[in-house]
Amino acid sequence: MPEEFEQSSAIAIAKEAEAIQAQHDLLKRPRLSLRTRITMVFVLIFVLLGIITIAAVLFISEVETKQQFLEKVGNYAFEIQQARRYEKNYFLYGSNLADALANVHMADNYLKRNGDEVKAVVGNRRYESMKLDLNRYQALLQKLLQEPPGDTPEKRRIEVELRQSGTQILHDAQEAMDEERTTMRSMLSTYMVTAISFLIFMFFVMAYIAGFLVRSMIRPLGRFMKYAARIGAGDYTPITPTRKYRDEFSNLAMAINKMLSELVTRQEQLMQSRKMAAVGTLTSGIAHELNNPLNNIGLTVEALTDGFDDYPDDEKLRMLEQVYSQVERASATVKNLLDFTRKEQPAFAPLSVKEIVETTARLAGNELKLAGIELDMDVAEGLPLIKGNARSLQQVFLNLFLNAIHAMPDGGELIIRAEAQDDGFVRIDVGDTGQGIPAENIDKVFDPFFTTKDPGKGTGLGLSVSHSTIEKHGGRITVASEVGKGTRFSVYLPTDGKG
Amino acid sequence: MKQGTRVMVVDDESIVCERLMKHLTGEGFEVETFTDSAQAIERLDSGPAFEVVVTDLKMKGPTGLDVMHHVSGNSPGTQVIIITGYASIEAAREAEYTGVFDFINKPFKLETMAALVKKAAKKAGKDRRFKGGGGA
Ligand SMILES: Nc1ncnc2c1ncn2[C@@H]1O[C@H](COP(=O)(O)OP(=O)(O)OP(=O)(O)O)[C@@H](O)[C@H]1O
Ligand SMILES: [Mg+2]
Repeated sequence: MPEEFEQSSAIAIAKEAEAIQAQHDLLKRPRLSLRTRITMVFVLIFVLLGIITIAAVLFISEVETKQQFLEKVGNYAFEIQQARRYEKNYFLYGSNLADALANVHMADNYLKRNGDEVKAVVGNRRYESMKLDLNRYQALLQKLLQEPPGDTPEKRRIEVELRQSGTQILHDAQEAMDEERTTMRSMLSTYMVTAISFLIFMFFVMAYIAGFLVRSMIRPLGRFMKYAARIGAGDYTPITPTRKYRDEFSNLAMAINKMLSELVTRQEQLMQSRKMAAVGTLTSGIAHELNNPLNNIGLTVEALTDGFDDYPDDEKLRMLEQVYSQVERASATVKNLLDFTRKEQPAFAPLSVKEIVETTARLAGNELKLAGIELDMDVAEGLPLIKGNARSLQQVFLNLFLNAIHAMPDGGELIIRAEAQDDGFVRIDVGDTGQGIPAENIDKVFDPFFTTKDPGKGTGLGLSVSHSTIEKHGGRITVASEVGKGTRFSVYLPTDGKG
Repeated sequence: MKQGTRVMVVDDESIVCERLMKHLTGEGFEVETFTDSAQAIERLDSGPAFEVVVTDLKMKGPTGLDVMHHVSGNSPGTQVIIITGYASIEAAREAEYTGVFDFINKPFKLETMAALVKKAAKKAGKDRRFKGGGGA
């Protein structure tokens, strides 16, 4: 018994260890909650939008500086043009040159005031050469002013130079403006391309994010639905981690695991208490089954003590034998009852069906002979081993054989067959050619204390104990019968595969 | 004791019948025993009446109650003693087992049973005299 107990508690400990391991595995993963993930996703989107907005602002301000620059260079060019117009008037009509000089002075001021900007756009060298050109133009104008009135060859020379220089200055300003316009145009088109690319990029980012949300929310939901179905079907193995990170679903998994282990213990309690309840409803049966032999013993002993001298010796002996048989009857009931209510699992080992059936048949051999019953046994060779407890299975088959024998008081045939099934079970049939079981009793034969045998002949516990034994083995037992033709009990036992 | 007081014992436990037969006969009763309640009912329906019927309650075939119904149908003066296997005599009494002289629990003593049968026989005799039936 302690061995059996150890076995069952070892199973319980292994189950508990499995549950604890699952909880541990669930917890071990780095934590990345759904909330963090969603927050991360939105932060990412916000950062991307921020970048694009800042880029747009920077771009617009850049465009604005370029615009301002164009305006300034435009003003500069205007002053130069103005100067050149006065210059032309001077040569054509001999008008005053001072206006031209004033304009050049303004242009020079423009150039100096915005020197840094211009330098940034056209480069240091061009700026310097622009400044030199302007200074030369100014110097030429001043020279011209000092020339005496009237046409001199010196004036003509200066006029040519002045024209060249003016054109050069205007050309340079124009070129700077053109360059700036081109960069502005290319900036605008870059901006447009960037905006469209960004839109496309955002489309993919969003698609990925949507997929990510689906993966981290819808998929686990589907998985949990499968878990629920599995648990509903009675598979109480704990949920183990399938993903890298821990999140709210992990908490759910842990809660479910906790619920499962609770459920398992509750179920065990329930099974035990159901058994106790069954025992409770048995009490009347027990009272009957135990009271009768006790009563018989009591009456016989009372008769013997009261009238010890009145009975002849052989009568006394017969009465004592009666007492003994009643004691045996009571102890058989008690023994069966203990088998029925036994909680701990008997030790299981791989067993050969053939061996069990044959040894049991040998035990019943004498009874078979006495009743004139023929044994027709056909157990296939090489049946897979089953997993079970030899002693309790022998008890089951012995009870089936004895029931069959009792159903054939005038002889007959006991037919035993065993074969492996495809579904991982071995099926053992125990058939007889006896009186059969009437339809109204067929549902009751597995009930405790149901018997049609004479008092003292049967406890009615045989089949109910067998039923619970086979259930403990993970198998089942069924019956088919026809009154007057015979009965067949079929026992299905799981093979020693993975069970 | 009263001569010719007839007692019927019905119990599918043959030892009970054997002991009661011996003991009650020793006490001076005329005893008939039946291990088969169906036969007992047949006897009640056909043969002369009994003063006292002692019957087990839970039996294969007709139960103790069936036996009792046949008694009260055939001979109103007959007293019925019911043997029960249950400890809940009170509950049995409260149930509609009226018309029962008394219940006795298994296991019982021969002595107790004999005393109960005697009391029942006395009551049966009175009832009969009252009805003018006489004990012949
Ligand atoms: N092979 C069979 N043929 C006909 N009836 C059967 C057969 N096996 C069982 N039964 C019926 O089922 C009843 C219950 O059987 P069960 O083995 O539980 O108790 P029992 O045989 O009466 O008592 P015990 O097993 O304690 O000797 C039997 O009394 C009988 O009526
Ligand atoms: Mg049996």
